[in-house]
Amino acid sequence: MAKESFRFIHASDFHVERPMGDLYDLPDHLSTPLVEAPWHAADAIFETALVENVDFVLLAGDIINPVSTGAVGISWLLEHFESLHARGIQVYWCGGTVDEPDRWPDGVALPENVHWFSKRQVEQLTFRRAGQPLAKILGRSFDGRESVYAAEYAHEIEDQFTICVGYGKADAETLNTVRADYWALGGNHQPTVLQNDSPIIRYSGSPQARSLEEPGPHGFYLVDVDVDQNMQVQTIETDVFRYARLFLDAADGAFGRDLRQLLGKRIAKLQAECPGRNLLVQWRIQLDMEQATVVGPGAVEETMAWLRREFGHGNPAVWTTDIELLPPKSLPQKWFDEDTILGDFLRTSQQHRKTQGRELNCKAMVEAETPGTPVWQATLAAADIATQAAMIERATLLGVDLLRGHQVDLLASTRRFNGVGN
Amino acid sequence: MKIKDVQIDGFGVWSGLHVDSMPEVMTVFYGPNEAGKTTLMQFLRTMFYGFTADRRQRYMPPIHGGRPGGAIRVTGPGGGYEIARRATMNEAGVAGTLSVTGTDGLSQGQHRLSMLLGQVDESIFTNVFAIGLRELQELSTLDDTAAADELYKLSSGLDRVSLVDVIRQLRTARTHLVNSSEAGQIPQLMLRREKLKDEIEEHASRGRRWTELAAQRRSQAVEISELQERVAQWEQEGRTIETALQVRAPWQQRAELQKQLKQLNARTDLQYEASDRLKSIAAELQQRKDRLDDIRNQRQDLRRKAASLPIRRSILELASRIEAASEQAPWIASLQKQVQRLRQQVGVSREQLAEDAKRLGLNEHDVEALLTDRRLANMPDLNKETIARLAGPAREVRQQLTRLKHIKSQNSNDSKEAKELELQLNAVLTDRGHTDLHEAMAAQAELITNLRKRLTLQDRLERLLRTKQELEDEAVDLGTEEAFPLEKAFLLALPFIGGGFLILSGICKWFGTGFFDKDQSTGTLWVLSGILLLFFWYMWRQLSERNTVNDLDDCEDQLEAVVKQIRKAEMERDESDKHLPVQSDAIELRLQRAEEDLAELEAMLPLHHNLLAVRQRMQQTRKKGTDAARTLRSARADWQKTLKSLGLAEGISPKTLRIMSEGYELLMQGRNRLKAQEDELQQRELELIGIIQRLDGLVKQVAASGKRDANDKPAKESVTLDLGLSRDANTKGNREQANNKNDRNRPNNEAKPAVVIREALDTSRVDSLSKLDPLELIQQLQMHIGEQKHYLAQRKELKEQDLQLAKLQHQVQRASDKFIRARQTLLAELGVESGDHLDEQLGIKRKHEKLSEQIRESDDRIRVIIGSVAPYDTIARMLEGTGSEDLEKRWENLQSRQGQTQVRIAQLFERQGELQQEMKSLAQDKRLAEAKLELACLEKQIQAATSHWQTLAATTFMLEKVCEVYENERQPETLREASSFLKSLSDGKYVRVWTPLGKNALRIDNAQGQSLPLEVLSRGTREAVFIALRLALASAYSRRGVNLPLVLDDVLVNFDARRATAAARVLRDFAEMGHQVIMFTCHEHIMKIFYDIGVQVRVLPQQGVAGEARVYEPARIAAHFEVEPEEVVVPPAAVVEPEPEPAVVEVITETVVEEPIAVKPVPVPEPEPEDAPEPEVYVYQNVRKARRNPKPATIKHFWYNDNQSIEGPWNDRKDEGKDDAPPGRGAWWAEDLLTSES
Repeated sequence: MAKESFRFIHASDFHVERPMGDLYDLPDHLSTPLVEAPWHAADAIFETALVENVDFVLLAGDIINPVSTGAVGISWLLEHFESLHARGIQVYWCGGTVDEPDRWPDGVALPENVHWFSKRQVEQLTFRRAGQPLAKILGRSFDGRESVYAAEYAHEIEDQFTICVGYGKADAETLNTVRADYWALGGNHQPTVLQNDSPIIRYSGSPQARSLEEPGPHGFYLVDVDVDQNMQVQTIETDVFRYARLFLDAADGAFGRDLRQLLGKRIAKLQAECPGRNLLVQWRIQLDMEQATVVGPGAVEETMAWLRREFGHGNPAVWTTDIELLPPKSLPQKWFDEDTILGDFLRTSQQHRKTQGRELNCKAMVEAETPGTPVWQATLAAADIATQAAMIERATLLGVDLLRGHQVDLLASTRRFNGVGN
Repeated sequence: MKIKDVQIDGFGVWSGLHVDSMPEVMTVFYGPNEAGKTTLMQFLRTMFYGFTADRRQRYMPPIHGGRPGGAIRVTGPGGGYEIARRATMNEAGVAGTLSVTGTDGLSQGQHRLSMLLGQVDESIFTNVFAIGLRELQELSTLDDTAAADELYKLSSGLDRVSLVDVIRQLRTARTHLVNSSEAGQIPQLMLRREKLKDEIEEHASRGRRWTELAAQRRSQAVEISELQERVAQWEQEGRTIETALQVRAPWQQRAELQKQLKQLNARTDLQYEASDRLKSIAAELQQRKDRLDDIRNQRQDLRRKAASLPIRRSILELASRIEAASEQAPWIASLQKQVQRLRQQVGVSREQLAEDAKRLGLNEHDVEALLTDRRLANMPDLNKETIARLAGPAREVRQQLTRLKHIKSQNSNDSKEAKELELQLNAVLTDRGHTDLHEAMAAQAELITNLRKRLTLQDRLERLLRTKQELEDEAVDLGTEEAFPLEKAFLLALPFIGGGFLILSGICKWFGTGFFDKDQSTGTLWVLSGILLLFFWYMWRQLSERNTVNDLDDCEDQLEAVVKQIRKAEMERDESDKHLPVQSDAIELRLQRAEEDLAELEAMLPLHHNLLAVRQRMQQTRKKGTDAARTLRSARADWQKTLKSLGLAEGISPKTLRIMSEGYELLMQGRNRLKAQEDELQQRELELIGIIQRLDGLVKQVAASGKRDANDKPAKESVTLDLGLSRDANTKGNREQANNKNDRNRPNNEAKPAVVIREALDTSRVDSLSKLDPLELIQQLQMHIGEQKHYLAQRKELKEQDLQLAKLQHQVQRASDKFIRARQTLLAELGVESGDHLDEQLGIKRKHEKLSEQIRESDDRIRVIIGSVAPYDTIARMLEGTGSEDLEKRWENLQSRQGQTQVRIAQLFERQGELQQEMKSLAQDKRLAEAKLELACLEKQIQAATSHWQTLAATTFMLEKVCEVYENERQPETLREASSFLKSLSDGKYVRVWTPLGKNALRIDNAQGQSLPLEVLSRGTREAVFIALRLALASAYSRRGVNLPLVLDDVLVNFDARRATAAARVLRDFAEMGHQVIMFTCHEHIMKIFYDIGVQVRVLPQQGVAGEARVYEPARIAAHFEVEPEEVVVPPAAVVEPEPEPAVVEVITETVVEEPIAVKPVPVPEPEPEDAPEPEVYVYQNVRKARRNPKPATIKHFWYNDNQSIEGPWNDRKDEGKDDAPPGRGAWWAEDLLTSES
């Protein structure tokens, strides 16, 4: 068997059809970069493939939804495949949930360098350089099962570098039952290393995060295999925007002037951690109601406006998507003990909390304010217990604000959505 | 909590204002507009709740100076407290510097204050305990519904905020969000979402359009490729038709030729070679015939030859015997050789034996006897027994000789080794002048000891010399110091000069001369000091000189001792040198060399020991040699003795005897060998003679058989020839020739055997045969037999040749037959009758071939024309098939279709370009991604708005629950109480305030039992309801343990005199029920109403000066408020605003001594709201106490400490009646006590 070094790229979950998420409003100056971020991140992968002159590219699912991505997506992908084809770079594509081989339009032909794994069984392909087999690649497109079924990847054991490509959930223990050198997995948007040695099992993750649930750097893997089949895996970050959720505890500082200083410091720290990346930040601030001098949605909006003004227009920018006020861990007991409306309200709220909102029924209000509209009822009814609990917490917070005599702008939090109340 | 004293250090327009001994019931503060009532109210709030930003802005810094802040004294649960709160301009906090000091002197902070305030924060205080004119004015400005609503809110939960307000606010916000008329935010967002979804769907459909276009493009590309392929086919077909038209003429010509060819009907199967083959077969037949004739002739010749051969059968019968005899020929030859060799060996052995005998010293006779095999007489008998007897002594002699030789050799080695060792040792010792090693070593050790001793002496001497040098230097230094001590002289000069100067100066001072004034006391002091210094100089000098001399003496003594030691050491060194050999080298070098010599000598010790050991070994070897020589002599004597006993010469050495014994045995062996050789010779000779005899007999038999065969021969030959001729009947013609040949050959063949036989059978030579060499006889016999065998072989060979010729003849005959058959077969195969017929057919064939050639040429021409344009078959089909006549028409058709297809292809290409362009434009449309992002944002917005609506709804839901509880539990009691107050306020006209079930509204019942909505009531009645509800609220708080002063700001201004009086009584009664009421008014008539009903009225003093709000005196009030100063609101930045010029010209600073008015409480029955329209109140009579020179209004800290001896609770009811007494500074209760005492 020929012994030669080679290199390949492992990438997945481009989801170019999916826009950036967890954004409430689009700043004008970031609108275009936000629209183009998923495309640019994916472009970087193909550009790297050409620049680094890799031997082949492994695409482990969810690259593109040919139905919903429109003309741009398919033509974009074909263009990149053609450029790889021109350089003799092979593409091994394992379909995921959105890019099943059946969904690809019949009228659009893929270039010859693209090998799309079947969804019916594990296919075995051999990568050859000048006729010499260098690597054995086994793969199967998503067939509706959640997990990667390792036993299907059983193959004749040879002294050849073996790569298995799969889409879905997987655990290292199961995958270890099959002889392979590298498991290129897809279907997980977060880059994850299940195992780092013999074999290496990795999810490359999406090249661009789409929501706050996908924090941290995103990119793809560039794998170098030397003549002794030793691997060197390099992570290349391609994300244009990076999501972060920052938490401020009540102990971090009082809500007011000092808070801004604190927010500024946290942003500076985050920028130092993620140099050169635009940041989309959600703040979760836990209030100390007793100490807070300025509370209520109006104050939150004001703080958010300040954050956006101060940090949202730089290059790279730090754009605050939202500030979520968390209720304090516990409200002062003396408030509960008060013989006032506030006390009554807090006791009522506590009662509802205990019953997990089962007695909280807003149906009458829905019917009264949006009569005869089942759509509204479905929209405005709380979905589950967790939502209900969060709603009670928010309601308690708002009630406390109101009953303590603060001037609360009840429409402040939605005013920026350009609806009523401008 | 009730306020007792107020002390304002600085707050707004007030500086140094103090209000002392406020009653626990109601107090009315009177002052005209801008007198500072609101400032006082705000001061109280500030004391309770701190310096809020608003108050800081309005009231700080104090216009008339003073430290911002102040103090109030209150009574509350647990006793009296002083609440002091002061602020600085720089601090931003609300609290300021707060201290709450109790009667125990313990200073506490916010916690205690909150406890005193009953956890009521400022908003509740404002909403419940502060009733202002502004609120009443606002109420009056509202329309009926709003006013009714405002009043309802008071009854349906109000502390910090109004519950109804909050619920309404929430409802409004919710409505804004989900207004079903699509003006709401969520409907708008959803509308936008729908639009975006439509847009996205449209763009997605563009994606499908792109896919369709891609499919179209692909199908069109396929169609283009198919059309191009078809055009290519048509082009090909057109070219084919063109070619067909070109080749049509030669094609028809070729067809004509082919027709002629067909008519010729030639036999093309006939080969031109067939004629040749027929001819060759005929030639072969002729050749075979000739060959048969030759063979027959050869056979006849052979038979003739065979008949002529001379063969003797009798001799051949003896052939076996002759061959047996001839087989013995080698044996006979070997026998002859053996006899000859044995004869030679016998001769040689004889000569050897004779020579050995001679060497052993045998005489001629003995030699002859030896050769003739007789016994010897005089030879010594050296048999084995003799030898065995001699072996013992001989071995002993040999062993002793060997031992002696060994000892000699060992002795020689030892002596050689000893000589070598002596030489090495002597070489070392001779260099050092010694003969013995031990002696040399001892001498060397002694030398080393002496050298070391000498070295020690040398060191010691050097040390002593150094010490001497040091002592000498020290002595020189001491001498120098003694002679001229320069440094010391300088030091000594100082006290000397100083002393002298002091003495001289003192004397000058004494006498007042020179620069000094005359001062005898100082002069004496200076002189004495100078003398003291001179004495000190003298003593120091003496002491130092003495020390130097002592040191010099000691140094010289030491020097002398050292010189002695040096001399002694030098003597010892000289003594030591005498014992040392004289050398110029350094002692250390010599010592080192001596130590090296000693080490070298010690290294020679093993050599010396080896020499001694070798010498000892030599002595032992010598002794062993002597013993060995003695033993050898005795062994030799034994040897001689044994020889003598055996009769041998004594001079024979053992070696000689061994040689002799060996010669004897050799002679015996030679003799035995000679005998054996002679015996063998004799036997071989006998065997040879027997063989010769047998050969003789055989020769004789051969001779006899020769004669007999000679007689039988002619008859046999004729028979044989007859038999040979009879076999060949066909060759009769040759028979005679053969006979002739036999006859010609016969004499030659018979001539040679005949001579031999005749010679052999010559009887005269028979006897001589026996005398011939047997080998020669055998040879002769074999020659005869050989001849006969040769003849037989010849005849056999001839016979075989004849047989072969017969075979050949048969073969040739068969071949001839085969050719005949082949000729016939060939003719049959060719289908011709004869060779001529064949030639005729071949001529036709030649014609056929010529035509074929012409056709081929034509065909080639056609093919050249066709070339690679089209397949030949296609052309053939075109020219020969149906429609060959319409080729031109077909070609034109094709041209036309090609043109049409080209047009179609061009159209398709154009369409492809359009598709490409459209696809490109579709692919460049990024709007879908933008719309998706917008939609994602919109979804989040809708989600957030929905979530917000849910939060608002949940809050509302919970607040409504609170509201229900309030309506059920608290509202009835509040309304009942309010009804009581309203009845009093309306002088019984309205008796009840209530809420209809399930309706958010208030109803008022009048005395006639009519239930009226609030909307229909007059403004004054609404205000009465308002005040009644507020009083009920305060009362409700009081029932819950929160008892704070009720602060009213001119609330009765809109009341008429009668209702104002009623209201004043209500308030007074309310205060009497345990609620402290503080009312501010700028209306004198109202003030007088209160004054008239016995409420203490305080008049606010002039702003800008420290003063007290004194209890109202009707005589003074007019003078006091002639001109009212404007109340100045301090702007935020106007910190350094100049003090406003008060408009008051006359500042009241008079000291009025007034008698205190004793207040006598008059018990008034408890008010009965339901029944008694005129509530009974306590009527207080003001007891005025005049004071002189009131001190600046400062409240001491720990003011209570000054009166710790005074016991009794603060809120002792006993004091209540004396509250109006003017308090003194510090401890008002103490003054109360004093007042009561007085």
